[in-house]
Amino acid sequence: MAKLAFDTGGTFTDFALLDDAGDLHLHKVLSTPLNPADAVVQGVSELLERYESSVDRETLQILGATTVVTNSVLERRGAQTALVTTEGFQDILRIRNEGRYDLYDLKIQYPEPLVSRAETYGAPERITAEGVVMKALDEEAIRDLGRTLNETGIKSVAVSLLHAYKYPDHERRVRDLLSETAPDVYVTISSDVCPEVREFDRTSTTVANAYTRPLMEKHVDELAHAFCERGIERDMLWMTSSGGLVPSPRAAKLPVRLIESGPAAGAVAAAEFGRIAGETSVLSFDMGGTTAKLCLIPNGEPTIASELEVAHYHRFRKGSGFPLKIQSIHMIEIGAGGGSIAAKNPLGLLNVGPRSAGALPGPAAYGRGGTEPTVTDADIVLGYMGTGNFVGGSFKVSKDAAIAAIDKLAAELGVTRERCAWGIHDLVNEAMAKAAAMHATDLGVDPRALPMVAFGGAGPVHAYGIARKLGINRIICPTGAGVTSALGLMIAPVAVDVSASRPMRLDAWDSATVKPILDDLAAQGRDVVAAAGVASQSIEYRYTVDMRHVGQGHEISVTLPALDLPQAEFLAEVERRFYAHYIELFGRKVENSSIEIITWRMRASGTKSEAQRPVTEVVGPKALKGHRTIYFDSLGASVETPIYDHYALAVDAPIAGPAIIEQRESSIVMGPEGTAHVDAKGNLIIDIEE
Amino acid sequence: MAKLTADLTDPITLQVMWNRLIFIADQADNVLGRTAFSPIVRENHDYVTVLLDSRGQALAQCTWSIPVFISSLPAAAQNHFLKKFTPDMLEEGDVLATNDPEIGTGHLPDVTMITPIYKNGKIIAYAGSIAHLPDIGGRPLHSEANDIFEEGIRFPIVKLHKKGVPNQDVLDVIAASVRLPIEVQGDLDSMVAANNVMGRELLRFLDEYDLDEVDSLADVIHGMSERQTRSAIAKWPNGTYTSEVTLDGYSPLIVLKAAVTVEDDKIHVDYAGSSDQVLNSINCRTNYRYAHTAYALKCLLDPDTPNNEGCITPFTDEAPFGSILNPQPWTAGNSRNLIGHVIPSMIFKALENVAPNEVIGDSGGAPIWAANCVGQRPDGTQYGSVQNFHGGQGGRSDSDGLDTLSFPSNCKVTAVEMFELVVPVLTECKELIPDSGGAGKYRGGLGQRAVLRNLGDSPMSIYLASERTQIPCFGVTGGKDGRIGKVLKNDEPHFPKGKISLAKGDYLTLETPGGGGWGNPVERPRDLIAEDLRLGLITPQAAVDLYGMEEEKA
Repeated sequence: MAKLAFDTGGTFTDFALLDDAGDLHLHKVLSTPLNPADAVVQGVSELLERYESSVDRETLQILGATTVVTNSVLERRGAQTALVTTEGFQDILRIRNEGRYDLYDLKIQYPEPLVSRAETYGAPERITAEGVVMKALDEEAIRDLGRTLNETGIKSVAVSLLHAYKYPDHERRVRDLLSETAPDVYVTISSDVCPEVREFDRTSTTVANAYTRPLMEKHVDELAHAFCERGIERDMLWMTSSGGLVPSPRAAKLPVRLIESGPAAGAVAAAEFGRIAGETSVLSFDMGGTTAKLCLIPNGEPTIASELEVAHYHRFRKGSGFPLKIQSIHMIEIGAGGGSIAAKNPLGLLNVGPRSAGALPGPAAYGRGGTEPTVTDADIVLGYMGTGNFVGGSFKVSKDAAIAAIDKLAAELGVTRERCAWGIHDLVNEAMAKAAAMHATDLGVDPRALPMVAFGGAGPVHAYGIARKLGINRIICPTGAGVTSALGLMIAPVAVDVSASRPMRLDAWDSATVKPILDDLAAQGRDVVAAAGVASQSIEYRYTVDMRHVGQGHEISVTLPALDLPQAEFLAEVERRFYAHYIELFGRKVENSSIEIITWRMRASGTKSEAQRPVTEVVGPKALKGHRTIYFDSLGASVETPIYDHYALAVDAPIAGPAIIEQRESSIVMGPEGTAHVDAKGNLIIDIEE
Repeated sequence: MAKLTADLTDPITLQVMWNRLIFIADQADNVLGRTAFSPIVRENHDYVTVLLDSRGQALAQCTWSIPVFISSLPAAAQNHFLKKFTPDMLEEGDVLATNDPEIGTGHLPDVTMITPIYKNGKIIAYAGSIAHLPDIGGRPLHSEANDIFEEGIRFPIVKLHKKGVPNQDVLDVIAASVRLPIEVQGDLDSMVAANNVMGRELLRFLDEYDLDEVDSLADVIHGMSERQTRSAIAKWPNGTYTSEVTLDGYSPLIVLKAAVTVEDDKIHVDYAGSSDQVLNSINCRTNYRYAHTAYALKCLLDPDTPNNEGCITPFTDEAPFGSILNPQPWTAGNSRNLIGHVIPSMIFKALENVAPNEVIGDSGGAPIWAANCVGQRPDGTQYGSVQNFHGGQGGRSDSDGLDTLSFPSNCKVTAVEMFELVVPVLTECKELIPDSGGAGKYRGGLGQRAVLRNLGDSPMSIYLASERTQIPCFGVTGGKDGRIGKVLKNDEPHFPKGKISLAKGDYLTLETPGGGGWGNPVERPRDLIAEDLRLGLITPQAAVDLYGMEEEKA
């Protein structure tokens, strides 16, 4: 069965096609931000024409990763949305959690809520924490509200009532009443989106879903229609933030779960490239123009976090955005990329970021109006990135412009050009290394033990320096570093995550309560996975719980043992796993304290696929392309350095550092301490000697 | 790994090394915050981790913090710990700790802990942490204590660990004196672990750079930071600038006075004329007062440089002995924040003409309002949990104050749903109060109205800490006052502090104060007034009365 994956990004839409013969083909077209479906349809049509004879359209499976959801939040292009809360709590989005994300900055701001106070309505109702109805739902008031929504032109409404994570009856009734009285308005209820305790986070998530839903639904419909016209019959599958694929109807109904769709696909690919290289645990490093993502992948699988934050007012400052309670691959985003601007700070020291030149005006070298020195300019001045081969030579850049920008800053700082450029490169590496170490500490892992998988436009340029800082001695640079996320889609399993908050102490275990919780989660998961065409006998169910000591405020994730164990054995094993993980994370055990479960989670998934080597990149005879003068800090000087073509290198032939190995969209830097070879799947492996 | 060169004259190397030191403190912060039992530690971030050089001077502090910690740990180290325990009296594996309010942060629940870091058999630095323990003994209602002995157990600087072995005698005495011995022990262990993380990571850092000491690096960081602060002060005109504020106190009213003297490149604040110390536990010790003085000035002069010893060296302050801002040692001080949190607003007011674009209006979040709900469940077990509420931030020179914001502290509130799971209380509303923000070119943030009803069959005691219910938050640079706070029981006004009993079905209404405005309200951009009206943040009447809007447009 053929598979075709697309990944809509900010600049390019990437494609990968695995045809019926098992051959993998890559493709790339410019994105069409005004209507992202255009670029997708164009790329799919071109690939289908080109490989007409080797693709059976009736069985072809199309897979998608998208920035539609995330961009509609960031660019505020979502639908006109209303919010319904329990009466008395209409200000929940403005009140937030009352904390500040910066201690000394008196002028902090938060992003304007996606729904304003004027479009927020109180529902006369109240259910207590124990499920007692203190105030019955005023149904007539809700019908009136439906009529008001019709009149005010609202397209989508979020409903989030107190304690609905456990007692959703009122929310469901509100949904039904609004659907009767305002049939054209999309209704999203919090108990569907994230049935988890803590009202601000749940409401924020529900609102983000309602806000993006009309756009995503339209996007999905448009593509389904276009593919149908081209004789493709199967429903599309979409990448969620947690690295699993879900069918179109679920993607359209719960778009907030797709908010980190592309980065999640990248992490799935990194895990697979690590496995191919014979590594079980890796550190995935994806660096582009404005941001970088780091993801620790222990034992071949990314860890899943149960919350993330988007649309930060203060670039990448934790606490300054919208919290989202969704399952997502645990990664950390660093607000530094090729476009980050370097400047002198008031103390006379060098700062890189947080300002970014973005794609426009971009680095000085792009010649689109940027004059401030960026990380990319520094990389060009150092010789790490060639100017002749940008995006396969299709994009012209000026080394002179980069030099002019760096020289200006060097003069301000009173250092040489090389020193200044190296400083910028090194400071970014330091920021990445710090973030990686923090991320690893969070998960209780020593980052030095892990090989790094580097991709994205700037990832392979910086990987070597970061690895040296962290003490990492192996770097894996996959082939097709520019379309890694699309490759991730080919590998990812169909999977769905469901959850329920039902606090329970282990010493007050009640199996009569637990069984229905788990059964309900399993049924929800099974329905979605089966709808994506996975046979019921091959569905895998995995249960995890968020646990803590009674009295603590931070939960840790524990995988439940087999559910059919005798109860005493089961509970003993849960406790053992909790303590083992706790000690792993925090280095010690708390004595004589009860432990409790707060939230139950289940992932139902199909099976993963294996990565293939692209056939479009033919091994050529001429691997050595030439030489450039390139600066290496450990040599303290610029030296003549060989430049190789990644795709022309023979398998297993060793290359000694220093060297630059170029791909179409990126450039791999290897210092004098490294030795590289290409493995059987075409990935470049660098080993660093100390 | 090849050794790195620690060239301290190189601006790039220095930045990399400095960032790393802060990261080390952040790693320790992560370990402490996530394993703490104390709700005030995790929700209010009422703890800190600091790396000190061998002289006890702050080198790097964790990024997330609250104002009291800007100076308290290094001051405790230099003035007390290092004097009582000189290096010859310490061994590797020793851990020192105290909760003495005169030494640490001005109240008993905060434990200050310092661990020497050794290299080649010599102390080269100290790892320090402070955390607010879940209980410290004494009266459950601290604010009604009349001296420090009623407020709980006090232990002087002791070796909590000797050569890596816990000092069980001391730990047993602490455990026997508190209501939550397991949680208290757990949090003390968290602090020990956090200090150990700093020690381990600092040694790794020194090894990478082939260094044997940190003091020369500290000198460079302190020197740069100090010069930065001094050059910012030098831009202000010399002179003495005054302000005063009146607070509810318990009764009678409390007056605080500040005289801020700018002299070339240093600043001195004199609190002469402030009220005398009181019997209730709102006395604010010198270390707590100074922290809030320094915090306010750092916000105005150099909010960006990561905090260290050098940032605050140019600031000094004083208050008459026996006043509420420098009380005698026996006085009660647990709820010192009710007074001390207002210091930054007062300093901003004094400097409104010196730094009009940096100062902000008085904030309704100063101080935090806290409702500790205590009672018995039907099965006879006790429940007890604190919920916090904040008023609006003061208006700013470029935008309105934020609604319901923790300032100057930095405390997140507990989710209503989580609170209702542990306490039989129904939060009937939590909503903004229109018109509560003081008018201004940029108005103050709004306060909130919250209603708490006792759902249980037995009575609930709410121990309430509140302020600003008699005299409103003031504006700056021509901005108007915000709305005062209110406390009502079953819709009737109630004394706003101390124990409030709620029988089944009774309810308590809390209305937090609005922030003061910034600048003349008449200059407020018309589009902002229109938007406030659209969102219902001000009433049409206020648009006319306070902002001079034509009646037909409002």
